Amino acid sequence: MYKNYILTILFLTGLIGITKGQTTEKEFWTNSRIELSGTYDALNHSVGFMAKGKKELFNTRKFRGFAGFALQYSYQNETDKALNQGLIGYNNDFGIYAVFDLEHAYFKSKKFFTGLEPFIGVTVLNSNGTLNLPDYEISEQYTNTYTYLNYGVTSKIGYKFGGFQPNIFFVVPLKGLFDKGRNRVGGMDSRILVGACVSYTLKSTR
Amino acid sequence: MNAQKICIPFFEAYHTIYLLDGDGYFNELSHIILDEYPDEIVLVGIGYDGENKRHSDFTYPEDDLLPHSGNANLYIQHLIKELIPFVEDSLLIQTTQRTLAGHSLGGYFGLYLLFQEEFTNPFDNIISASPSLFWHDAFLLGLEDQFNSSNDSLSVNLYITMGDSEGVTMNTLFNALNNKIKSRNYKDLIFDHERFENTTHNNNSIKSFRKGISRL
Repeated sequence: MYKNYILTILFLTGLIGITKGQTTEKEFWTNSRIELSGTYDALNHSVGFMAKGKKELFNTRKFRGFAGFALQYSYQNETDKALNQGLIGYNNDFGIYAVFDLEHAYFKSKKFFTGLEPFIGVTVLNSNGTLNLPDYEISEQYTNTYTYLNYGVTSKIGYKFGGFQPNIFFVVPLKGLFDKGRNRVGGMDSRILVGACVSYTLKSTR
Repeated sequence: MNAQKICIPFFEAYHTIYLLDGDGYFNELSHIILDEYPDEIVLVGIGYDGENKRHSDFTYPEDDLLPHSGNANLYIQHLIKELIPFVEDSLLIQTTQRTLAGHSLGGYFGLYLLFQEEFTNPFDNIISASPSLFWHDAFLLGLEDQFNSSNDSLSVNLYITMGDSEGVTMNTLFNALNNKIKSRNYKDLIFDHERFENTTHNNNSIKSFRKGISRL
C-alpha cells in the first residue's frame, strides 16, 4: 500500500512542477478551470460528487490540455435495502487524484467538445453498520476500511457557453487491464460512474 | 447444457467439481486447475446456452427482488437426476468426491441445497463464496434453524468466504451464519470460513474457489 502512496505523491508533485512551469506572462489561474460534478454508480447504487481544479497546459486550434487535481466522494446507503429491516449501514469512499485532461474542440466555433481524462490516485473505501435480527437472536456489527491505488479514464462530451463548459461523462476504472482480467471492473473498488459536470473557466482570455 | 470434448483415462477416478456460473468462471478456474491439479480434478462448468437463468435456478423462495425467481428445487433435481448421472454414467467419469462451488447467488444455492430437507445433498464438499444471504429477508438463517431443530449431524465439508469490501449487509450476515453454524456442533461437519482482505464482491469468486479447492 505504501508503494501506492509514493506513486501518487510522485505524480502529484510532478503535476505541481508542470503547472508552475507554465506561469510566465499570464497570471497563474488564467484559463484554468474549476469543475463540480454529480455522479451515479448504477452497479453499486451509490451517488456522489467530484470537484476538480485544472490548470491549462496548452491550447492549440483544436486541442486543449489541462492538468490538475480531483476530489471524489461516493455514498451507498445499505439501511433496510437488502433486508426489510434490521440493518443500518453504509459504504462510502473518498478519493484524491491527479488528472490530465485532453479536449478536442469541433467545428469552426470550437464550442462542441469531447475529452479524455486519465486519472490516478488513492481511494479510501469505508463500510460501517450493524445488523439486528431478534427473531434469529442475531446482533452483528461491521466496520472496514480499504485504501487502494485507483486509476482509469474519464470520457466526456460537452458544449461551451461563455465561461461555462457543461458536460456529461463516464468514468471507467482500468483495474483488470494489466492482470488478464483477474480484477473485475465495476465493483466498489473500481466504480463505473456516470455524471453531469459544470465546468467554469477562470480569467478566460477566449 | 454444453459439454466440452474431453479426453480422460477411464481407469482413473477423479475429484469432480461442479462449478455454478460456468459461463463466467470456467475459463479462469480451468487454467488454475490445469496448472495446479492437472491429474486430479475434473471441472464441470455449468452454464447456459441462451438466456442466463441464475436468478431463477439459484434462489428459493421466490422474491420480488428478481422476477421469476425461486426455482432452486427444480435446479437441485436437475443436478441430481440429470447432470450428475450424465457426468458419471454417460461420460463414465469415476468420482472420488463431488464438490459444488458457487459465488453470490450460486453461493446461496450451495447453502440452500445443504439446509433444505426435501432432497439429499449429493455433494461431499461445498464452496460458498460471497453467498447472497440477504435473499428473501435472510431466509437461509431461518432454514438453518429449522434444519438444526431436526438434525444433529451435517455430513459435508463446508467452506464459506466473504470479501471484506463487500459491504455491511454481506459481511454482517456472513458473521451471523458462521456463528450460528459454529454454535451447533453438528456431527460430521468440517467447517471453515474466511474473510479475504481488500476484496470486493466480484473479486472474491476465483480467489475463494482456488483457496477452497486447495483445502479439500
